[in-house]
This record gives sequence, structure tokens and C-alpha cells, in this order.
Amino acid sequence: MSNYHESVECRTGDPLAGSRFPATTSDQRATVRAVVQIEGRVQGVGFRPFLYQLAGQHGLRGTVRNCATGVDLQIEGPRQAVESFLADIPRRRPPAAAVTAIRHRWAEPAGYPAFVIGQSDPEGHRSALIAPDLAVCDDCLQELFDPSDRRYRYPFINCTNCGPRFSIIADVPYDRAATTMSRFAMCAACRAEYEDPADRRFHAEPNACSACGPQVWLVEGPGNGPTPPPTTPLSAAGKAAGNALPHQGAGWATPGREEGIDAAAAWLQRGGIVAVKGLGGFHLACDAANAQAVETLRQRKHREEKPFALMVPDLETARQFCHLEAGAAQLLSSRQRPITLLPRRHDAPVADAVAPGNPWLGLLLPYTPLHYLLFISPTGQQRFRALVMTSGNLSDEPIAIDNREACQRLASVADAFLLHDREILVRTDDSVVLYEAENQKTALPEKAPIPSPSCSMIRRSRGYVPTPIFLQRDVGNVLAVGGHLKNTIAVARGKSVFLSQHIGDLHDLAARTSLAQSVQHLCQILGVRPQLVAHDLHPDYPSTRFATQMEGCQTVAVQHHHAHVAACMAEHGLDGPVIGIALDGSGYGTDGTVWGGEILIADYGQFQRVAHLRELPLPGNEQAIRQPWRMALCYLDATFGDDLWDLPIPFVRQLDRPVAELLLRAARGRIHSPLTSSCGRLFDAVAALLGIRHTVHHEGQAALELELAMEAEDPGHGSFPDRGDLIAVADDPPHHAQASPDTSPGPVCRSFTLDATPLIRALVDDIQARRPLARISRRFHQALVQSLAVAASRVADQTGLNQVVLSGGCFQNRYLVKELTAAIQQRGLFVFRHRLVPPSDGGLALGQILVAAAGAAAGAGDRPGLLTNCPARGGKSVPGKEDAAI
Amino acid sequence: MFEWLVSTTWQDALFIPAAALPAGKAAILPPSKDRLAQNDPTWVLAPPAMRSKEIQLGHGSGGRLTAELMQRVFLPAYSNPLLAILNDQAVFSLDGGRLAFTTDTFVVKPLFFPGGDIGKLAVNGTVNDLAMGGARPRYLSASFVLEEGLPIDELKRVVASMAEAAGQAEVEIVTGDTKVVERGHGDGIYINTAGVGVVEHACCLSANQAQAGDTIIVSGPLGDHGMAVMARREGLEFDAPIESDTQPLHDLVATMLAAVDGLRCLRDPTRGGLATTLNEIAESSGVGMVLDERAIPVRPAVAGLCELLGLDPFYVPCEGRLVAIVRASDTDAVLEAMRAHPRGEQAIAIGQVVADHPSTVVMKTCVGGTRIVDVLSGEQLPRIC
Repeated sequence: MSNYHESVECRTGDPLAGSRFPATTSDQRATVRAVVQIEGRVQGVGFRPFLYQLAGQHGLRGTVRNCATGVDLQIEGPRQAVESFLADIPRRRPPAAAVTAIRHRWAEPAGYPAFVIGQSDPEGHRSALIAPDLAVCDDCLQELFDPSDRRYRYPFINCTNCGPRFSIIADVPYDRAATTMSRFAMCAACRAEYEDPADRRFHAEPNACSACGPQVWLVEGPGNGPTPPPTTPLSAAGKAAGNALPHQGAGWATPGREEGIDAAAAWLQRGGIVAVKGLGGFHLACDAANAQAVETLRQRKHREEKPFALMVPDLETARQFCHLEAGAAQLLSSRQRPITLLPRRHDAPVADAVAPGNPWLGLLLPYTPLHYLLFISPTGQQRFRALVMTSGNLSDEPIAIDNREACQRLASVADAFLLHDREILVRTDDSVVLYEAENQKTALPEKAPIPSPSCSMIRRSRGYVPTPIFLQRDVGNVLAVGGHLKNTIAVARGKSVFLSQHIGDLHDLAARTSLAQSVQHLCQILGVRPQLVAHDLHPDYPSTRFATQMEGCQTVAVQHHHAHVAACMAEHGLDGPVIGIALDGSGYGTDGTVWGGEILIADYGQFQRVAHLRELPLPGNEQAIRQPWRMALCYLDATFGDDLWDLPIPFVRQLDRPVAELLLRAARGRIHSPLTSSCGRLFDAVAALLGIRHTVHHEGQAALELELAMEAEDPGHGSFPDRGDLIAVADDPPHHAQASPDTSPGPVCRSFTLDATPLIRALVDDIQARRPLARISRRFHQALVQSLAVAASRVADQTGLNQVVLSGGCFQNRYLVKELTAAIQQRGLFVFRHRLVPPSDGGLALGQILVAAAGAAAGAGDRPGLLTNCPARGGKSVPGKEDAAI
Repeated sequence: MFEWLVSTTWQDALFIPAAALPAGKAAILPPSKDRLAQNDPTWVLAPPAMRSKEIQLGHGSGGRLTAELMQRVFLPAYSNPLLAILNDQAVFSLDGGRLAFTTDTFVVKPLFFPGGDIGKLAVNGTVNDLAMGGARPRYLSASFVLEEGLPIDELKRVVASMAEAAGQAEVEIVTGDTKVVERGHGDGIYINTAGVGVVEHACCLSANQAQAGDTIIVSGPLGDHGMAVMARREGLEFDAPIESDTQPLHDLVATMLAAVDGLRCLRDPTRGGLATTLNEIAESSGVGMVLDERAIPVRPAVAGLCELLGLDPFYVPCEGRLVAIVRASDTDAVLEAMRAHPRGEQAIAIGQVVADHPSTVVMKTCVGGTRIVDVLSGEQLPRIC
């Protein structure tokens, strides 16, 4: 397993450090009592049974209970035994546990007769770490397929080492009563396990069996038909779930339990689409080998081209689809079970429509018992090689989590619904990570606290949330509400930042409701009442509105790219100032223009915009983001002016001339064409110019295809010399407001502009010379990398700074991140990139926390990077004075 | 008490009296400034958009900034129950009769555009504001701010157009005023009109009357006026020009009032378009709204230019359309009456008032999503990446 998933353990200190021994206990055999507090992820992971057994092994007595900070332990016996017991705790902790602090003091022996597990204490500071949802463990799998086991093929089998956690927890301390399992009363057999400290299910809060626990059942209906009525399982009709009604509609078959799973599998085998309720939400499933089923799913879901994820039953099968290195196999089978993007085998047995034209596939292994039961029939047969498991939604709205809601929303998509009555409290999408081959590992300087793993985050959600990101500094209680697309929020408590699950795109009603709920839920389970709320500078982000309408909080607006850079700094524990390269699609700038290709000098409190891509109009606003051909037109206009119409290249010939001329008139006249320095738009423009894509269906599509174009065959093997000068560097005029010394966090640097028009000219030459697409794409990438490296070292030379931070959605581009890292390192600088959180807006909230906290800590007026107002659009803003009042 | 309004240093403008904020909408902070800290806990930090000391163009967009200007500047100063409803007109009783009273100022570039001119706009705008209160418009005033150098012929054209429009709208222009400003201090002509009308029925049409279950109706295609003016001003015309929809709606309203008694609210979606108008009604009535994207009528030429410019037609102003909130049981009757009238032939139901998500307007999109129709601060700026 790549170690960064468990970064929690990195901070485990010596449990005995700093303890004070009373003079009277120098006799190693004398009976002593230690009063111990253990903090970290120690609830819901089998920690108390572990202590019970450990105490037994050491022959000690005492008591333990869950409290809001973790566990309280009293341990009594010979001093030597107590000491070795304490030393064993972090060493031998259960697999899913993480210990962040052990504190103890000595006290007079209390005369405990045995070791007992006490009642939970709900009071006190809530610093216990809640576990993320965990994939079913090997022990439980063994039992699941053991015909003699009482939970043979029971789809909700779990134990203290695995099963649902974050998605079902309403409050801390983590007890069954505070979860959605509270309405299932345990049968005698389950209760016996639950109360037996020697059992693997001792205080396994979601513990259940087929006699007393949640049930699964199937609701069938014709696709595109009427809304199927939600029903309860036949076997559990008496205990109707809050989200399922006991009525049964005419014509709807409702097989329960095992029959339900088999009937669902039969639907899938027939090419049907089944909505499957999972751990953190619904999936839409179909047989990945059935081309017609996959096509139908695409049509019904209104998802034209975005790749689908595939669930495969085991690593062996995964190898039939993708090239799997040892690191990738580890990642796939980790407890987090993320969707892992892997290089696809050319002979992968999968329908074309799964990931059209994409040389990568997103694989994941089953992570709930239910998934395994879908794959493995009662006779032990493997039913599918792979299932498409895509999010249970239409288009890009949030995934369904509730039975009734799913049956309504997905009625036009699914032929059948595999439901269960364990309620999902928190919507948690599958996480997505990008595997990077072992030899592509980036060497980090020794100072970096977190060793380099072999993957980067695309979407951090199920399995990772709510594991905190640890900071070097205490930031107090802060809430950050994130960006607009792929929103996540974050709550800071002291030195920990808890990023939320993926909330989604905030133009959607369900996502916006989910934003409010997530803020409430995360603050609740963390016991945080935020004093400070950070939001983006964009006045029309719904997250901005949400923040400014919160009561009793101070709000802080954080510039988008400053937040990106701060997020990456925080991950690596950097204090800055650093050179931050923030490349993405768009973010609201302090001057009211749209930023996105930025080099900043930044610390947490403030930043200087030292360089950016040349500003061009974004013709037709968001429409230009959906239609990359518009940016290509603007780049051609900036490069060739009116001569562009005579360029003998396919792009120009294919233009609808009257429309294009009208658009150009709007662009030149700045009519609904705000200026942008976006790097994402440069990728768009080049992709359109090369004929790769004129319109996009999902975010970053053109840029991704431009990157993938490099991987195509290039018969000529020709390459261009690395030329950094294809993107011209021009100093800004000396009076340029952005170089104002009093807004700079560190050494002042003359600001400059990166102009890509020479590169566009070179690319047009290449197109005219009919050079292979792969080579032209590579040339573009090389030129971008070289010029950014040149720019970074220019800033470094002027300022003496040597740490370069890479952030923003463009750094999901594998080539860019790898080559730019190398190119900058070659110039003797240290490079830091995202590891724990996505480089895209999914990680934005982390940076917002740090910037807001730094501004609040700095107090009045002298930290001008902190913006507390939205400047007038179009006017230059020199932020500063307004902070004095806060 | 409202010192911040006239304060010259803008740090002072950061703080406003708590009473000037809408209920539950602001963060209360201990003011750190000495003057404010003197035992006056009611001063609060103004929301970000209010902290600028200067008027921005966005304050005139009809969007969020305009609303904030109303809430923080005008309402506290002119505090009275008639104004507080924030309808397009005030309806009150005077000597036994119910009257409607309104005023509007017209600033448009260019002065002449396909389908109309600033004069026609100035009459129809005020006539429609009266009509939306259920009144029969009677008398108008007309005040002109003229720029030095304006050709008198242009003024004559505008005045003639106003006279014609007044005839169509069955009103008389009975008083007026003229001022001239220096060259460069105006765009040729600015016109202010005020109007008085008579309310001859017992209906109470107001933005706070919408109820869950009601139907939302528009009288015709949206966005024609805004796009006609923009296309002419920016030289973005091709094919046949888009014509402004400016027209008087008083007789259409009279027809609707005669047909049913379940009208709750009428609005003409001018500045900020349909989206902003519906948000105002939703907020005022404390209800939610669900629109059906496919049902909302937009002419192909308007949709095409909007697509080109990346504008959402639901935010583009109309000058001759109305939005009606109607009791559900009266939907068919009112639609029938509207469609029988030449100015409402293309009337159509576009959505429903709901009890869910109060103050929020959502749209069922063509792909089955539920998109929120926001009020924007001012000009649209990209939010996607």
C-alpha cells in the first residue's frame, strides 16, 4: 500500500515521551495505575477489543471507554508490564487504526478486579478521528463464501476491521446509536459477538446478520418506464425503513435477499441496466462486455463520451484489462479501493463504448460484500469479467443515495433496482486516482514530510474521507466552502484539516443542498463551530453566497489561484514564500479578469502575481469553455490578425465564416468576452487548431485528448529541439499595479507576461507541413514546459526563492507534471506537487483554509494578500487598506 | 444613524447598521473600529459586495447588486410600507379610488433600434409597470435630459414616437420637463416618465402573493428586446434583424383580469430578465419554483445570438412580455384568454410554484438535471473551469 493513505501514522510520537514518573514507582514490580488518553482514529476500528486483548496478554487490569477525543484508558499492574503495554499500543494497533497521540499520567492503584470495557462518554472536545468507509476484509470474505458460516452470502457482513463508517455516522462518539444502523436491533448471536471482547466483532457498530440486519431486494421495472414504487424486502416487511414504503405496486416483482442479488445478476447477464445501492450511493451497472448494454446506458444517462469505470472481481481479471505493476495492484486492492486509472491493454475484453478512444481504463475492485455476491454465483461461478459501475445519476448531478429518490431519478435509466435498507447518511462517491508508473516517481527533496507515492488524486472521496491532512501550524476553527465545480468543503480543527467528500457541481440543486448538509455534518462530527469562513473571490459562486449568508462568522474571500498554491504548500508543510505555478481553466482574479495561467510568489497570507499568460478575450464567456474552437480563433486572431482567414489549414477552412466573423467582432469589442490568462484555454485552443476537438462534453476533455494524442504512433520519430522561446517572455511596464511592492509576500520580482502566439505560429507551420499529430502535440507540450521552467527560474533568480509549487487542474496532465517537474529540478529548484488532494478544484478548500487563517492571524492591514471584499469588476484593485477594519 | 452613506473614508462604509441588513443574512462581528465599538453592538460588517465605496455598473444590472442597493440605501432612508413591497408600482387609495403610481428612467444605446426607440420604450415601460399592478394607465409625465449637440430632428422623431405610443396605450402625456447637459455628459437623450393609473377591481396583484401549486405563465418569447438592442449597438446583426418586443400590455392585462380571479402576481421581466423576476417573486413570497427548460419560448434568432455570445436568454430583458403567477385551477382559462389577444398569442405555462426549496428557482433541464437559476451580481462571468 502506498504509505500516504495512512499519513496519520507518520506523526505518531513516542508514547512515553514527556511522561512524569513519580519517584515512588521506581520499583519495576510495584503495582501502578496509568491514566491514558489515546487520540487518533481509534473508534470503530476495533481499538477497545485490541486493548482488552493486549491487557490480557500483559496480565493487566483496568478499564477503557470511547470518549469524544478518542479513548480513555485506565491500566493497572506491575509497572514494567504497564510500560511495555503502552509501548505496544502504537506498534500493534489494529490495521484500520491510527494513533496521533498517547498521553498518560501515573496515579494510585484503584484496585480493578479485571479489564472491563465501559460506557462511552459523549462529552468533551470532539477530537476522535472518524474512520473512512473500509472495503470488506479478508476474514469477512472468507466467511461470506463459507457455506457453514451463519453469514454465508449475507451482503452486509462486516467487522471492526472493515465495513461502513463515515457514510453512516451522524455524530460522535462512534456508537451504533449514532449511526443509521441504530434501527436494527441485534439478534442474540450478533449481540454475543458484539459484547465478547475476544471477538472480531466486539463493538463492531454495524454488526448484523441475515436474521437481524439490513436486507437487500430487487425492484424490477422496464427501462424508460413509469417510476417503480420503492418497497421493503419481503423478509423484512415489518420494519419499514424510513426511506422505503411497504406498499407494492402492481407488476413489480420484489424478490428478496439472495434471490434479489441473483435476479439482479440475471438482468445484467441479459444486457440490462441495474441501479445498485452501494456504500456511499447508487451505481448504475451493466455488463462491460455487452456493447449494446453499454451504449444503452450512455444514451439513457445522457453521458456522451466521459469514460465509465469498470469493476473487476480480482487482480487476476484486472490484468486482462490493464497493464498492472505491483504498485498499481497494491493501490487497486488497498482498503480505500479507489477507481484507479491504468494503461489499457490493447486486447482488453471490453466494449468500445466504455471508454471511447481512451488508452486508459478506470478499474476498481469490489469493496462491499454485495459487489462480491454479484460477481460470484451461489455455485461459485464468476458471472462477469467486468461490470460497468458508473455513478447513479443523470448526467453530472449528485449520485442518488436514497431508495425512493433513486427509483424516481433513475427510472428512465435502470431496468431494475437492487435496493437495501441500510440508510446512507453521507453521499460518498468513489474516489479516483491516477496511477503513475514506478519509474515516473518524482524525487522530492528530503525536507518533504511525505514520501512520494505512485499515484495522484483525481477525486478524493470514499475511503479517504474523513482522514485529515495534517498541518505544521495550528489554524484554529475554520470552514472553507471550496469552488464551484467538483466542490469539496473543508473544516480545520487545530492542526488538522478535514476535506469533505466530493460534493459536486454547485449549479445543481441537489449538490447545493448537499453543500449545506455537508457543512453541518462535518462541523457536527468534528465538534467545530467555525469562527472564520473562507470562500472564493468569485462573487457569483454559490459557495461564496453560502459563506456570506452564514450567521455569526467572519468571512474571507480567497483568490482562486492563491488557494491552489496554498493547498499544495500545506500538503508539504511549506511556509513560503514559494514560487507557485497555478494552471487551470478559470478563476476570478483580483482585477476582475479571468485568471488561469499564473505564476505567483506566495505565502499563506499574501501573494504577488508575478507572471501570467497573455490575456486574450474569452468570446462568449462560458460558451468558449464548451466550444474550444472559439479560443483557437482568438489565438489565431492574436497571432495573425486578419491574415488568419488566408491560412491554408483545415481549422480555418472548416470555420463557418459569418459566425466566426461575428464572434471575432464580439471578442475584439469585448462584448461578453472577458479577458482571460487561462492555461486551460490555451490547451483548448491548440486541441481545436489541431482538429482534435471543436466542442467538449465534459471538463478538460479537449486538453486530455491533446495529451493522449502524444501517445499515438509517430512514424517519423522526429522530435523538435526543446525551445523555451516559443512562448515569449515580455516584462510588464514598470508601473504595473500587480508588481506593487507592498502586496508582495517576499522579495519583489518584476512581473512579466508569457505570450504563446509565437508557439501558435509554429504549430500552424507544423499543421501546414502535415507533420504527425503526435509530434505536434508533443511540441506544444515541450514548449509549454520549457517556457514555464524558464519563467520559474527567472523568478528564482530575481528573488532567491528555490521552492516551486505546482497546482491547478492542468496538472492532471501526466506529461506536464512529470516533464515540468524534471525541467525545473534541472535548474536546481525544488518542486512540490499535490499528493494528498487533487490538484484541481477538489483540493481548493484546503488552500482557502490556510489563507484565511493566515490573514486572521496577521490581523490588521499588513497582510494584503487577504481580500475581504470583491473589487469592482474591470478596475484594478490594490487590496490592502480594507483589511484594517477586520 | 446612517452616517456610512455619506462617509468619505470607505473603512467606515465597511460597517452598516444591523437594521439595514435583510433578516438572517449577515455576519455580525464585533466592530474593531473605535468609533463603532463605542457601545453600539448593532453595527455589522457589510456583505462583501456592499463594501465598495463606489457605484459599479452592476448596481444597475437589476441583479443582486441592484437589490442590495435597494435594501441598504433606499429602503432604510425612505422607509414606508408601500415602498417596502418592492413592486414595480405603488397601489394606494386616494379619496375613495384605488390608484397605481410608478416612474422609470430610460437609458439606451442606440436611441433607435429595430422594433422601437427610446421614446416608445419610455411610454410602454411606464404603461406596463402600471398594468402589472392591475391598473388602467391614464396619465404620464415625460422629462428629458438632452445632450448638447443632439440633432433636433432626432428629438422630433423620439417625441413623435412617444405620441404614437401614448395613443396606442390610451394614455395622455400631461406634464413634463427638459434639461440640457454639456456635450459628452449624456448619450443624446435620457427620458424619465412617471405614470398614474386607476385600479378598477378588487384584485391584489403583488410579488408576495405566489403560493405553492400556482402556475407560472409567460405571454410570449423571451429576450427579443435585449438582443435587438445589443445586436444593433455592437454591429452583431446577420440575416434578418431581431426586433424589440416593446409594446403596451395594459389591454392584455385587462383581458386576463376579466377572465379569471385567480391572478396572484404580474411582472414584466425587464432588467435581469425572466430569471431575476422569478427570483424576486420567489423570495418575496417565500416559495420555490420549478421551470421546464423545454417549455420556455425563445425565438431561434434570439437563441442563436445568445448562444454565440454565451448569454442565457432567461436573463435578457423584455419590454413587451409579462410573467403571470396564476392559481392552478385558472391556468387553462387564463391561457385561453391570453391566446385570444394579439399581444398574448404565444402565451404558455413554463413551470410551477412549489413549497420546496423556498426562495430558489430551479429548472428541469433537457438532460433531466435540476439546475438552479441564480440571481447574478451583474454581468455573467464564467464559473465553470
